[in-house]
Amino acid sequence: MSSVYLDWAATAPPDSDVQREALSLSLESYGNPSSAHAQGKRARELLEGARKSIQSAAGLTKGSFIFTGSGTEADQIPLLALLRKFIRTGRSAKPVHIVVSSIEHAAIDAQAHQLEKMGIEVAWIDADTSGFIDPQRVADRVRRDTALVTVMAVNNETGALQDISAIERAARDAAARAGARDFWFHIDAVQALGKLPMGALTLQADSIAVSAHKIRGPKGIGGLWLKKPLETLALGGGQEQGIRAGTENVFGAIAFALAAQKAYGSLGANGELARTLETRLIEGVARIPGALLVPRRAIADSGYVPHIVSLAFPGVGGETMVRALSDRGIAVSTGSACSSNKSRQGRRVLKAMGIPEDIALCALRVSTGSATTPSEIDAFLEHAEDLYRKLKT
Amino acid sequence: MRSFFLIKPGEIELKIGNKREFIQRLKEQIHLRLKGIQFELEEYPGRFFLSIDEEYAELALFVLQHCPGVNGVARAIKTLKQPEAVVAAAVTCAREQYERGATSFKVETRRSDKSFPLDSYGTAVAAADAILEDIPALSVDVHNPDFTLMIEIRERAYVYANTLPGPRGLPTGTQGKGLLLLSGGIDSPVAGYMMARRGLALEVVYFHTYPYTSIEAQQKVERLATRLAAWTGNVHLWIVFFTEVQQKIAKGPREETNTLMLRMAMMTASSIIAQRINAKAIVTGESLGQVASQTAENMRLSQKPSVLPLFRPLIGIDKEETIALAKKIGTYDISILPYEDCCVLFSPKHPILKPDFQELADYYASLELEPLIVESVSRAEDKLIRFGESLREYGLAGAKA
Repeated sequence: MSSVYLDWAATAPPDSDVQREALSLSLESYGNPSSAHAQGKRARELLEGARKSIQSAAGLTKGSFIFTGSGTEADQIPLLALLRKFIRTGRSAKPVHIVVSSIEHAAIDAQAHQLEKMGIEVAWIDADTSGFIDPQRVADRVRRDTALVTVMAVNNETGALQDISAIERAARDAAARAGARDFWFHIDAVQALGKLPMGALTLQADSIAVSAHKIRGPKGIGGLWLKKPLETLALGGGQEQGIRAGTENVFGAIAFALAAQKAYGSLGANGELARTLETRLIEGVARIPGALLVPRRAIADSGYVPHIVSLAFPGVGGETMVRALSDRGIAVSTGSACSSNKSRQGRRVLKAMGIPEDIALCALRVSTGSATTPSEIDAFLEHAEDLYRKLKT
Repeated sequence: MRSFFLIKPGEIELKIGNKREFIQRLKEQIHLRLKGIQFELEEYPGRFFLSIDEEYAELALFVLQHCPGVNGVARAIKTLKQPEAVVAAAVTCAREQYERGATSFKVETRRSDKSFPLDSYGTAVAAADAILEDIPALSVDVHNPDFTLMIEIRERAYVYANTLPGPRGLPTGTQGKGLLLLSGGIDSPVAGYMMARRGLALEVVYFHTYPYTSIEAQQKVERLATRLAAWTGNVHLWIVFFTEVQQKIAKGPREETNTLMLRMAMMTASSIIAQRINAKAIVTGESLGQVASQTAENMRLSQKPSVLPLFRPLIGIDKEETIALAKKIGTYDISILPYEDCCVLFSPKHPILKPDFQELADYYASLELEPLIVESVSRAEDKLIRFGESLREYGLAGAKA
């Protein structure tokens, strides 16, 4: 059976050169980076070198970068930090208000729902049917007591690229008009890392969450860029500026850095490849009777990243197609792998965009990466068309 | 060390003509479920006594508490028919209860052997006095005691404190065999349990529509059938591959009847299997009005292909009650696993509620599903799920066999 992997947005196939080199370095320098002896110092050097290297490769400079256990953890840290403020002021004394887009990854979505249950007020901002967050809608919900605004840079299900700078400008203006102290602006950039330079985002954001395994690094390591210090909820041995305590994952950090260097070293070539593949895919989908893109988008549409395309075969459930394609050796997904564990949550993002349920239930996500070939796209199109004909009821 | 269990059969005792047969069945079922383990089962009027190595006591208790026909079961102390021995056993038994937090008790005595030197009252008083002397913190409360200490003087003397409930009902198989339609939802396993308690042995049929439904959905049904096996002994599971039948229905012109037609097709297939396995009835988890396909009119249609009586034990039970039962029998947490599929795409948006019987019966016939259904049944996979597997499913160490 052929093996076609078009689920890079769930996780990218690990780069074995990167992982081997990181493993060998971390085996040689196994010390605890907090130890005062030579082994510890060597590990510390590697860790700090990795940190600097990610920052300069991705453009995450002019701030600090701390390693976390995952992109999810990096997303949780600024949200959970709100609890310190909330508990200090008490529920009745001073409400804490946050503004969250309804199309966030579960890392933000589930955490924000939890904060809501604990008494923090959440203003949820739905996207339009194309998957975009309207800056004005965000601005309309910003209040005097808004403590945090969070919007993801690239949506993991639709590939929609949010206009972060317009959202930030509108929200900050609204805050100023309301006479508010400045809010914290957090960006989930997990799907943007390695695909886009991050420098522009650092101009607007107070914090940015990223993850290594989406750029062919290992699972189990993420990162949080911070413009200014943050008082965190979870404490421990003071590692990572006290924000993410716990002995550092030196292997993960080195591998993350090597993967970031590779991704940003071939940003142009990878971008071109992604566009070529996107064009091939979108043209192919157009030739399949009944198939459609969800949301509708043009080839090389600047509103979407090329490496994530969401499409639907109306009448055949997304999960049905995923199973049938998998039987033919083709890996795609119905959306976020992190929400397909819970079937009822699976189509939350498309529903928040106002996509009708019978289309949303049929949605599939095709995501590509630096090793994807045009023939993989062709194989997907050929089998999807055949299966659609057979399975459509 | 041996453990003794006193088993109280219930409804069997009320039978007259076929009581012997029912008792035989109950004994067979206990033997089947404890296969491979050394134990003795003695029968006396209105009681069974099971003696088994201590190592298997937990297993025996599980078996007896899941064996239809058993009303109650108690761990008993078996002792000599001498007043001192009986009193000593009573004290041991009371101490166990006291250590579990009981503070009050009463004593009841049944004495079928009239040669015992003390009468019933005298036995109870002697036991109570000894208990109060040994454990001063306990007191007698004849109205609302924390435990009732039972003393039975029969061919031997038995002392026990707590009777644990059994499933009651009739022994498995005394009412023949039924074929249960098992879907993976909450209701059908409960329906199976209820009919198992009425003495029906069960075989189970599941309709698999891959890739519309997932392998996980099938595995979930296998786990549910395994849990049911705890109540019915071995269970035969039939997996019928129904994708083509479902596709043919969906391609028909009347979308609003899809669910109804699928149910009729499942009933046609079930009917074929039921006859093949010599089942006497078909069992479903339907509850009146719960969903569109479970109106009286729709049930008249969906049962039409069946030549056997249809048992719907949940027909008058509401969802809350069904959920409570599912939790009690241990199927709920499996039933709610999220492997439901996009059957919402197959189900009509506006299902038909009050169909014209003849018109839809004709429509069903016009779909000409019979050959596909016969073919699907002939390709059905069947799996025997043994009682021992249910023990593992419930986290118990199984019998050796």
